[in-house]
Amino acid sequence: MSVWQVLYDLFTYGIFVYSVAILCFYIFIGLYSIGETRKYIRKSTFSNYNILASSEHAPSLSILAPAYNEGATIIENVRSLLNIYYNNFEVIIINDGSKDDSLQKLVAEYDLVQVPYFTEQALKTKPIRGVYKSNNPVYKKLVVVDKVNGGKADALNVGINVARNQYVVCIDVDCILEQDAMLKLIKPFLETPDKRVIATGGVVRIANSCEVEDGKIVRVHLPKQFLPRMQTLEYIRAFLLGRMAWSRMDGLLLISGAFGAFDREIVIKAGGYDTKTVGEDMELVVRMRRYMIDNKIPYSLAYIPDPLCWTEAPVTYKILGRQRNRWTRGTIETLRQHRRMFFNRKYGVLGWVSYPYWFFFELLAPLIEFVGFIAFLVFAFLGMMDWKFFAALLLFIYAFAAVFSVFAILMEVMTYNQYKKRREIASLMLTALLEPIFFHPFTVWSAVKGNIDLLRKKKSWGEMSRQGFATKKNAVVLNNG
Amino acid sequence: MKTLIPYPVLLKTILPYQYLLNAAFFFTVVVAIILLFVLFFLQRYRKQRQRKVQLRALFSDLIAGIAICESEEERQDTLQQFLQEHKPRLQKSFTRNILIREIVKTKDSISGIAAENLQWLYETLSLDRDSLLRFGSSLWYRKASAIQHLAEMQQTKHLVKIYRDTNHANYYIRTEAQIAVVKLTGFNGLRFLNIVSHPVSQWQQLSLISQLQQSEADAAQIAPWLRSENSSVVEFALRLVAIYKCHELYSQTMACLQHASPMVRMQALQAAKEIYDDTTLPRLLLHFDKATKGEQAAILDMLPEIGAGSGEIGFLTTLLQHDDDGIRFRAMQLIQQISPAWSSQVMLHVKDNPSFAAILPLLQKQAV
Repeated sequence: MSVWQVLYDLFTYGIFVYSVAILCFYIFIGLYSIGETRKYIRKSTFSNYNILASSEHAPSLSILAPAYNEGATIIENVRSLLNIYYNNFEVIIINDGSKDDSLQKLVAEYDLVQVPYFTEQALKTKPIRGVYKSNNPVYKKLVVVDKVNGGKADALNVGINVARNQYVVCIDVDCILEQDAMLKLIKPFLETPDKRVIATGGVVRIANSCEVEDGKIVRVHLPKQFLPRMQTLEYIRAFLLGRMAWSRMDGLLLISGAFGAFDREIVIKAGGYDTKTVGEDMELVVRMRRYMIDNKIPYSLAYIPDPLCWTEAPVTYKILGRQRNRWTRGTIETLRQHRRMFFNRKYGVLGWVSYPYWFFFELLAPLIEFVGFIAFLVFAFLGMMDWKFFAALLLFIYAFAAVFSVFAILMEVMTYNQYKKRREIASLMLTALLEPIFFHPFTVWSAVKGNIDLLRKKKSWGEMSRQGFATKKNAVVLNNG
Repeated sequence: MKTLIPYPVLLKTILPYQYLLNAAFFFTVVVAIILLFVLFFLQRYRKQRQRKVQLRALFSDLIAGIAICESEEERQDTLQQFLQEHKPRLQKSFTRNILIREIVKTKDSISGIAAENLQWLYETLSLDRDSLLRFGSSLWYRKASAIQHLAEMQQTKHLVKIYRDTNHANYYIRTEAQIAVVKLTGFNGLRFLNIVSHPVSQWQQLSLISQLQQSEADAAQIAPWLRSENSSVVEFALRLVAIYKCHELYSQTMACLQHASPMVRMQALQAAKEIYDDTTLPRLLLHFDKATKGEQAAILDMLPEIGAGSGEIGFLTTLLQHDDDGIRFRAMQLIQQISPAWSSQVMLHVKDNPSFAAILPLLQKQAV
């Protein structure tokens, strides 16, 4: 056996072992998530959230929504946030040096005036230009902070400084929340007496094609456009299976930046959002967890499988590519920053399971998949590999991907069943069969580009233009519907 | 090359391509099975939903009819009319469970004679037996929901059984049992706090408080809870002291400022704000240096309410040297409120102090 042959065998054998490991982990995640979701649904059947909604003793919370050039939709988005079903809260909009007329629109619409407002400089940030509150008592819960542009993480840090309440809820300003979202998000903070709950996250769903009325989703539809539909399936898989399994294992490393609640004191003690990374949401969660472990404080994180937050998914390959590119860079930066956790006994599940999983199966997967596919294709072309074997391998991987997606759809149907029409479920099933061929390769390629961009020290977020809402009679439909 | 490396040797031995095809075929069959199951599930779900909608409509007529009855005869007539037509349906446990849920849901939002009528309906149809059957279940969610139903329907005859579960190892059974005994017996139901060895979560505290709204408090009962070894019980007792303004428990409340749990100390401050007397202010000022930053901020926030005046100017002025921005700011705000003249002088002195740079402009604006 020649050296080439040994290398060749090692490569192919390595790819095979890696593939088997990742498939096994996916099977484990799929099955392990069932128990957590089932338990949550059962306990929800006799939870009375109205207790929290009406109680003057309910914990206070500050909703932080950074806004950058959101002038087209800011008024409606803020109105939607102010209508949230909760008793004791403030909404803090952080205008991150927008170049458009966002601030002027807010000032005019909500009758805002600049006020003296003391903010603790608990976290270092770019300067605040002014804090605005409304003269109209109807909007007394609204605080608008105008600051010098510093990025999303810096804006959130300003929000944390300005916040006066115990819990901060960080959301994307263009997200649509379910009316009882805050009640469900805050409850875990109150029901774990033996541990300090430092953060909770909720499921984010795709709002494209859904009908929206007065800032609320009134009818859920499966997106009619191809890319958002693919992302719908992806989100169901990630949130209903992935996050729930990690939550059950107490190994969550990520709470979506679009919607998550945090214990303000712990956020500050952990140092707030890192302004140097584009994956600030994941980085903060990892740092908070490390802070608790390093200081030997019993703690936990909670995840809620209810669809609480709806967001508009990118509809073009260009925007989607930028998003995935950024997610990849964020993951790499976070894992690099916290590399001490890698197989570190001190960090328990995080060190032995979560971090290695993210490293091997999230960070390396696209690269291995990309290199493996290209290499196998070349081998097949050069006659080094049997075409039949190559085709059988592809078919095997494709069939497994389809099983995993179809299982996620089954879980969705048996739990929240958001897509009521049989046609929509059929369409989702078809999406599961098409996704590995038409969507997944693009996300792999975007991740590879993310790696390249990181090597080239690219730090930008990338423009994330949204289509926003379009009027349709009394209701509005996210206008790609 | 082809002759050099014909086919991955290791893979060839451990993974003949036929295996891959077999596995792919297996996965395809799994996809097909799941697909068929989803279709079957949706079909069944739709039928069940329709059945539930029909039953709910049927029962809502019965519930509405019974709720407005004004006498025993009227209730009997309404029920008999219903049973003549629908008695066979009520033999099925699925149907009875829906009826229980509908009665419980309606009873939760009404009171007076209408609520008593629904309780009568529940007992006359022996639905309590169904609830008791669920209560005996080994599945926690069945048992917990049964406790909820029994409590909502005021089944005091089962109080002893429910009370036994107030210290159950399962969180959900325990909390439902605790809420149930309070729902059934009012403030007296809180006697489980004497024996509970598990923490009473904040969520549970809010739930219990919402059940206590119309109950009279008994300060003598609260007193031992303030000395409980279970710190969550102490925290809850302090909430009760604040809500019911139990002035007779003042000294025990102030003693809780020394408690090891920070949650208890914060709650003690909240309670002290509600039942303060002339001694509260000096005691809090004495406690100030030993308090955490959060407690110090809470103390400063409550000073105006508990009677801080010119006598505290000296203390507040010393706080202007504090290393925390928030404490300095609060102290300065209080000085402004108590003595605007002194605050102007202080501002002149601190204007060149770099640690005041962040807060001075705000204070000056507020002074104007």
